[in-house]
Amino acid sequence: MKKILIIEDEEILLELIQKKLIQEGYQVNAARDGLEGLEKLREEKPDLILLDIVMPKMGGFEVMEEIKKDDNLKGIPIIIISNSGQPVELSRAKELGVVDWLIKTDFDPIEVVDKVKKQLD
Amino acid sequence: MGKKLSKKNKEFDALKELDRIAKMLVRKDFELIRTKEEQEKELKELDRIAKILTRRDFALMKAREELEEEKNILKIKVEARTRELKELAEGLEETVKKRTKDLEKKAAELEESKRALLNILEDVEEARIEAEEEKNKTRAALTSITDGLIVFDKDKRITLVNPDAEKKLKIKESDVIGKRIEEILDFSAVNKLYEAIDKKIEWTGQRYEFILEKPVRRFFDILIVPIASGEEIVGTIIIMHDITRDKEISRMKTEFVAIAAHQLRTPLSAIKWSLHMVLDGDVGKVSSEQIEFLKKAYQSNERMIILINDLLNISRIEEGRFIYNREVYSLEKIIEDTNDLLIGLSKEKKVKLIFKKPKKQLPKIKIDKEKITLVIQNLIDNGIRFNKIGGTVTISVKYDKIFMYITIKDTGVGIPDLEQERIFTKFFRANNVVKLDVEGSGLGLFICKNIVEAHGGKIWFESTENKGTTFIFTLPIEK
Repeated sequence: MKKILIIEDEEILLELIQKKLIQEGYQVNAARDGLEGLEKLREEKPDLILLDIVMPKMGGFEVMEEIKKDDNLKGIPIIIISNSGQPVELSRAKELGVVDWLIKTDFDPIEVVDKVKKQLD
Repeated sequence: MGKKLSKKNKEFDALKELDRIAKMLVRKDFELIRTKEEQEKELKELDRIAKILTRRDFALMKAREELEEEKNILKIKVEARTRELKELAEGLEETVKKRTKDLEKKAAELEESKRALLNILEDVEEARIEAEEEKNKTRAALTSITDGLIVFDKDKRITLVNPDAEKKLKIKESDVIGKRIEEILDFSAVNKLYEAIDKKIEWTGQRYEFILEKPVRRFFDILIVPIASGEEIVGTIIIMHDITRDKEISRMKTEFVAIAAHQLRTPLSAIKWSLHMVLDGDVGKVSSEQIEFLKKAYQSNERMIILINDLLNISRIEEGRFIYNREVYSLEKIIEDTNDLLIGLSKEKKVKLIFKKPKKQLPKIKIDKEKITLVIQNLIDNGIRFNKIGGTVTISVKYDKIFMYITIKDTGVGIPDLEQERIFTKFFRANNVVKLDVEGSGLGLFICKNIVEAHGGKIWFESTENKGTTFIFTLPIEK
């Protein structure tokens, strides 16, 4: 069973995606800020990360920098789920190995699941 | 006259001879006594001599008369000469008088000219003062301008540095006046400026950016403009405009937009996803009546999302960094995908969507896929929304050697003549459209125009009220 870690501070979105992905048969874990996310990453080493950008304690970009430094973690595909999405952010994210960037308002949960499937299958 | 004189002399000599002879005659009287014969002889001789004498006397008299006459002639001649001389003298005097008069006249004229010249000089002085005043005024104006200015003459020598430029560049006008910029590169700020303008003071119409690090980082917009007098270029001005504040505002705006978009989108996405899950039946069964209401809530939420995306797009357009991701992509696919997306709306509005697929394969174009999708989506969406029941929206594509032409033709309400001019302005909505649909942002066509133009294309329309509108836009074909 493929493991997914969602790092997202918006409770309702977190719950919704988690629910959707569990329905699809994935093992899903959740973290509510960047620091917690990094801890859980190191504990369980997931197959895919869904990462928010604007979060308390540690933002998405800092999490990505940490992942890039860690030989055990780098290489795990990252899908950004954020409502930010300035061109500068997109190009920086690309450099940090992000495979996809979803603007939450522009996608519905089904589409998110499709993106995840595309990465993991 | 010389000849005559020598003749006279001879006659005088003759007279003397006569005198001598007379004296001799007296002596001869004594000798008379000697002989009678002799006396007789002598008497005859005397008679002869007397006769001669008489003749001589006559000659003498004649000579005297001649002399007298000669004298008279001479006198007349002298008199004539004197008269001539006198006349000459008088003439001379006349001439002198005339000359004097002329001279006086000339002097007067000269005086007049001098006065005129003085007047001219006075005028010139006045003009000079006026010019000086004008110059001072210009100078005062230039010095009080809050942009930094350096004025150069046509030999590229500095003729003015205003206080603002003095302050910015840490130079004194008095130290650099009359010099070329190359001569004052010891001033580090001047050197930096010189580098910033590519080491040439030339009017190119180009703007340069110049950054001063100390005491605080400041940004300047540098413009080099020519000073023209009539058709002649008489100098150049370097204008340094402080844009630090603009830059800061722009940065803050970008930051604000990013945060605002994020903050607004977060609750909207929560609503969207929640509604979606309920509608999908993921959280239990919902009645069909409930579904209808939830769908409406979902649609309203979608409109809100579009509005926020539009605002975000506008702010990016205004920052001038909207198109950033060009790639070769199929226009046909974009149109098909957009049509799929809008099929629901077209059914709801009872408008038929027609895509006249090109028979030949379209040439490749390099576009920002998402942005061009936005254009096509906007135009088709308008075509459906502002149409009549049973109307059509027809999309067709054709191309020539340079451009691809995308046409979206509807059979809708049209754009009122009076409002056609403003159709591409930000926040503009036509009257007849507002009545049909109250929710639009008035940003769609403004965004379309910006996207198309950023791709090097053009957008225009033909419209008749109550008959329909045709939008056409072009995209350049990659060579």
